[in-house]
Amino acid sequence: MKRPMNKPQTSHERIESDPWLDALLDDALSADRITMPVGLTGRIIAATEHQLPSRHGVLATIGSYSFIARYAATFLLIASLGATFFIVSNIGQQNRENELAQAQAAQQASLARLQQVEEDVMRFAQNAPVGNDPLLLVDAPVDQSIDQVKARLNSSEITSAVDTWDQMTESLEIELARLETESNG
Amino acid sequence: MTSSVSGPSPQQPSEPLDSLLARAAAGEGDAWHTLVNSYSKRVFGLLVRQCGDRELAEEITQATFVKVVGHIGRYREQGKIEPWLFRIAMNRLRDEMRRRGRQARPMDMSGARGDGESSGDAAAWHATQDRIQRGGGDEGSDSEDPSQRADRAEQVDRLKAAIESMNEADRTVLNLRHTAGLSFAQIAETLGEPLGTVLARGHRALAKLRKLMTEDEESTSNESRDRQEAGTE
Repeated sequence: MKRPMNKPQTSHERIESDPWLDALLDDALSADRITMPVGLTGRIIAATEHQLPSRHGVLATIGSYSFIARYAATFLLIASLGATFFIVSNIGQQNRENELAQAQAAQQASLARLQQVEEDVMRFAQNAPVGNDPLLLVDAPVDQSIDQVKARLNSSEITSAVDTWDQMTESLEIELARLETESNG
Repeated sequence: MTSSVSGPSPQQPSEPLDSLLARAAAGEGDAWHTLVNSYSKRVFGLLVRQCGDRELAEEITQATFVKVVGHIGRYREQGKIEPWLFRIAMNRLRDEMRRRGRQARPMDMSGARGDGESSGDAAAWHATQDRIQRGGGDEGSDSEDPSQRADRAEQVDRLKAAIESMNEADRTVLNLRHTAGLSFAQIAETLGEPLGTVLARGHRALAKLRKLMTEDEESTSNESRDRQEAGTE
């Protein structure tokens, strides 16, 4: 059994005592005389160990290193924020370019359809039984050509066809005007 | 004869306590294991002596360390871990006793195993008393006079009876000093009382014990003398 002796003093104050009785009490009341429950220490450790403060926490790790680590972490944070902003801006720009390209493609398609209508009108005029008067359609605008053709026709069927072309032309021109406005805007 | 305010040397870890505590607070498991191994026996022993209930003492010992680990990261008072630890244990015990509606009772020190002391301790006790009576040396031999052994056993019984007859406050000081191994200054911090009060109580407790044992010894010797005289007549 351990004999309690010669522990350094913590104070100048002393208490009158009987060393024989003191030693007797040390032995009588010593914790060594108490039988510990089997496995108590293990159970305490099992119940408490997981509650110890985390040794590898991110903030704790950064805090325990020098200020250089903190500067590096700050730099990385700023760099990642900049990269995110750049990527988001690029995506916006690309979307705008895609929209413009789509508008231009639609415009070209409308022009192609208008051209097709003009060709149809000219082909009809050339083949139509409208007498021997030549039609000067090549250099004229399509609406004038249509008017000329309408003026020479009596057949209601042909008139209806020409009206259809006329309406189609008008709608195509409106569409073209809209597309042009959008692409300029 | 005087005794310093510092207490008996308990089982101390080889590493300084503050260093162990700092490492445990930083999450180092081995430091925490050392702390638990160093103090669990003393905490459990103190609680058993105070309440005499091993199951309750075990429960409160665990609860004490759970509370300590929960606050270890914020513990900043260097050199005061022992009063802090034992104060938690004593407060827990007091709360539990209050909740259960009974008073703390001293451990029955008759040597029965169920009361906390191992059955093999009686022999160790006698051997220790022999060494003390021979002059405190650790080199005691096993060749001892049976009559001396009987005398010492009587002495031990008287001491046990004297401790059991003391009031709770005096017994608490004795247990904190001789079971928990605290100095009087640490006992004062543990109990939250002035050092002078604790010193006075310790002095009074020792004086009372000495008186109880002396009276008992005198009455025993008188009885034996009377028996001897009656025998010669």
